[in-house]
Amino acid sequence: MTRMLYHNELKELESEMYELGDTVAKAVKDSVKSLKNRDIGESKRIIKNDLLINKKRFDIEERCLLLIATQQPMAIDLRIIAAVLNIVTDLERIADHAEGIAKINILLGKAPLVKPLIDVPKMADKGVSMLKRCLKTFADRDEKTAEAICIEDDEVDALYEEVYKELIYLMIEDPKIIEGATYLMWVAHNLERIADRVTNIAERVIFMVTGKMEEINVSKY
Amino acid sequence: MNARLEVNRLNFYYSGGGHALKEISLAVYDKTVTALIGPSGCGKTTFLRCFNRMHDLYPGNRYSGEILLDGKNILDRDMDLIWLRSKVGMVFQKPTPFPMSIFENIAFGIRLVGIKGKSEIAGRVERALKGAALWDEIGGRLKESALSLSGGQQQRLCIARAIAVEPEVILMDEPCSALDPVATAKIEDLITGLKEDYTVVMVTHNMQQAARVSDFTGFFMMGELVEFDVTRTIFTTPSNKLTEDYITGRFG
Repeated sequence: MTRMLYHNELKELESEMYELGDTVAKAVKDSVKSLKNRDIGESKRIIKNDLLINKKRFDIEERCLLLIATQQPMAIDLRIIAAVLNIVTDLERIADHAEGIAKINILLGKAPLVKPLIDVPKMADKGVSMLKRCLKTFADRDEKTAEAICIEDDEVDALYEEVYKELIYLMIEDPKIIEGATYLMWVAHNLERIADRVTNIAERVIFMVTGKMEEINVSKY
Repeated sequence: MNARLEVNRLNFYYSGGGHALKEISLAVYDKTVTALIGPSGCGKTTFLRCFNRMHDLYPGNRYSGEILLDGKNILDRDMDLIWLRSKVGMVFQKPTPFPMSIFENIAFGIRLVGIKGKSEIAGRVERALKGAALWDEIGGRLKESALSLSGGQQQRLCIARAIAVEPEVILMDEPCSALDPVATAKIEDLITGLKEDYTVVMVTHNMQQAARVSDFTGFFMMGELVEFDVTRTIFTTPSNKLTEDYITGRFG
């Protein structure tokens, strides 16, 4: 193989993206866990850690631009770099959603949750699972599984609908809990958006492998 | 889109017996730029030289198949090569100015196609130099030796010489490989402008140049045309793995 250094740099770029993906997935999981455990200290750590995620995203972007400027990538190489540029933006936004959940936990303070968290952790688990598998499809150049992951967004939408309806019902029952219920609705909304972002990432995998740009599954929300 | 040149099952054999081109078929479309790419020895320059029968300069070389220009098979034995080369001009890798004045470099070819009138020749020289984006730079120095020009100017003079006889097709064999980046950029701009009036076929080793300048690209390997498509497709989503491996530097 010629251009060994260049292709090694491309591989490193991918590795950096997977590493960022792992960090972001952990932030999502931890944010919901800290909400469930009402652990304010952990939420503060997640917020602080988001700064590192933002920095990592810019570092990867810079690497992409440097590769474009110095190596004039083409075909699959160019599509990898274009996909990475898009995906790190989505990863960074997913981390912002995790940070949003951490902030809600802080806003809730010592007040008890208006309901036990059942579907919310399910949404988080599903979103994290989708994200991890989606990044694997990038590594495996597996556009078919990426497309299937896009469809899984419907399950997260269904869970969101459940949470939404239940919270509306509780608010009608007892208007005193409106503030606490609204906070939980924001949490669910953040998780719903995370799954949407994973769908974007899956679309970029499909583009990277096939060169086709298309929206696979338009979210209900 | 109209095909200016139509190549059907072209084979080419060098006098030594080497089968340099194998069953090549493609269309070169009118007023477009077609780039030919591929590793050294793949046949792209051999292919380019078929279009004006350059190979006939050496005995024993042999063609089969056909190349149609305006419906005529230019590989026919009775093809008038003077006519053909006035219709299909060529620019080489290294600038090849003749050791004579700038004016004479261009007038030479014009006289060769039978034009004698002084004012007609002068008018054509001026038009050719303007067409090659040289007039503003050297329009006042026509009596000076062409060898006094810079490399980039010499190459544009060669382009002016090619267009002075008003050909239909201009062949370019790595026209920028001996030039610096500024001169290269000027030639690339010029090529883009030339396609308003001419059909250009160019061989280049510079993939970015092919991507920037051409409308169609053909990828050659070991005498075969591996892939031919719209340039943006070749450089973003080529359909053949060999093409992809070559343009991404995985071999070659």
